[in-house]
Amino acid sequence: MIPAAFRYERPTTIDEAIELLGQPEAKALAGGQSLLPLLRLRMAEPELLVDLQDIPELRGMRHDMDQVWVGAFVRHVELAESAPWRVLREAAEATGDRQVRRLGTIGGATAHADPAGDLPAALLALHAVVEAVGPAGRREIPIDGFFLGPLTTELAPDEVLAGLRLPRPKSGTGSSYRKLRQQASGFALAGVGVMVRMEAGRCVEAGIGVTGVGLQPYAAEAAGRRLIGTPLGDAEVEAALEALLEGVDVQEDAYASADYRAKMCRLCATQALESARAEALG
Amino acid sequence: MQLELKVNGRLVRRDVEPRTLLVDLLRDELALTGTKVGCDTSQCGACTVLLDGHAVKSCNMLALQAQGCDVVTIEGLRDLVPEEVREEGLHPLQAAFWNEDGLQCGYCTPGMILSACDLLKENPNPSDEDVRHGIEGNICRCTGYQPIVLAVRKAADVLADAGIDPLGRSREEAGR
Repeated sequence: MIPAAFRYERPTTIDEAIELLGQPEAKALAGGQSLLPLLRLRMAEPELLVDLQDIPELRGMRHDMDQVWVGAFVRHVELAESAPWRVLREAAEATGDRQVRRLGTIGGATAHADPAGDLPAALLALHAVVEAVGPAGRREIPIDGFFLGPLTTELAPDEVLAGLRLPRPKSGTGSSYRKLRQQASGFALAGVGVMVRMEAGRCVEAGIGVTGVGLQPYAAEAAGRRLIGTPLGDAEVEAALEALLEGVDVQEDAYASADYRAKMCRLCATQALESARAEALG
Repeated sequence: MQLELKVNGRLVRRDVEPRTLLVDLLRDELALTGTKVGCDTSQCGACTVLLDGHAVKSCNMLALQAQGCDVVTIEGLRDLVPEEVREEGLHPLQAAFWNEDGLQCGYCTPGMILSACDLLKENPNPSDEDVRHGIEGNICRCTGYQPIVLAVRKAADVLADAGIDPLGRSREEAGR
């Protein structure tokens, strides 16, 4: 299948990219591992494709005192190897396959906003912040609230997702990602990323990101709050996870009923929490 | 648009439409039909080639994204290793697929071999489990995978004996 015709540009700065993205029907291209299938199916027919691969400002990871900045063009393979959080390494490794992970990027996966994408769940668990640059300048968008629906985000058409800010792992933190794969596509039928921080045997901070279940990846805030103050024992976790799917329209398709998805989602969350807790208690 | 890249060691210059997929450039323009189009939805991996030494799906990228890159297809794979390591002119991975019956219809084989190449570059001594995970992006509808796993592990032994990685680099070079 051949995509509809488009023009192609390769800017070398973010400012140039923003200007190009301001043109009608322009679309940003990162690794292209989600966009190319859409182009070939002609579900997307942009007039201009703006390839971001030559922009050095989108590359690399930087660590400062209490934050880590991950450039939009950091690829899944790099994340799987050297992301500062285990939940991000595991989610990157769980994405697609070897070839897709080689080209796919964190910025692309975030901006694409697949309802069953793996990285969004990890980013939600970590309370990441999206850094977007547009004609009016730079703005920061908390990841909780960034995903608005299937393939729909807060990002404006002429904004470039420049990078993501994450907290730096402190002592006593642990994190993990668990998913149930749809065997043929590899996408998550349910996927859960978690992050916890333990102090004196009690959970003092928690984040839970869920994917593959609703119309978009989301943060299970209520469930996370219920974990605070507990030692993350089996009973407390089970009680907290009753709120995991609160207010979520659990999806149903040929691969999984809503009931099965919900059960598997709770199971993934339980396993991820167990693993994160073990890491936190080191 | 003007495109310049290296394919199997040779410099290629072409004027391409931006929407040209890398696989179509390889097959239709350069007549390198060893690279297959299987599913056309980026699931099956039959179109896998090496891009700057890493396995990628050539049906899932634009030719222009490979501007300035070094592409190796199944046709050029054997040239990466010294002649004395080849068996009847074949790269150790190709020879192992032949010897271990790692194929039946053969359609998935070029992609399977190039993914295995990427795997062995990172992990010179993979377990069965490692191989299965390593080739998860490639679908075979004939073999049931077991002979493919055997072939990849056999090739790993041959490469280890020769002291090189599948791209023909000495282990010290590959480690850098």
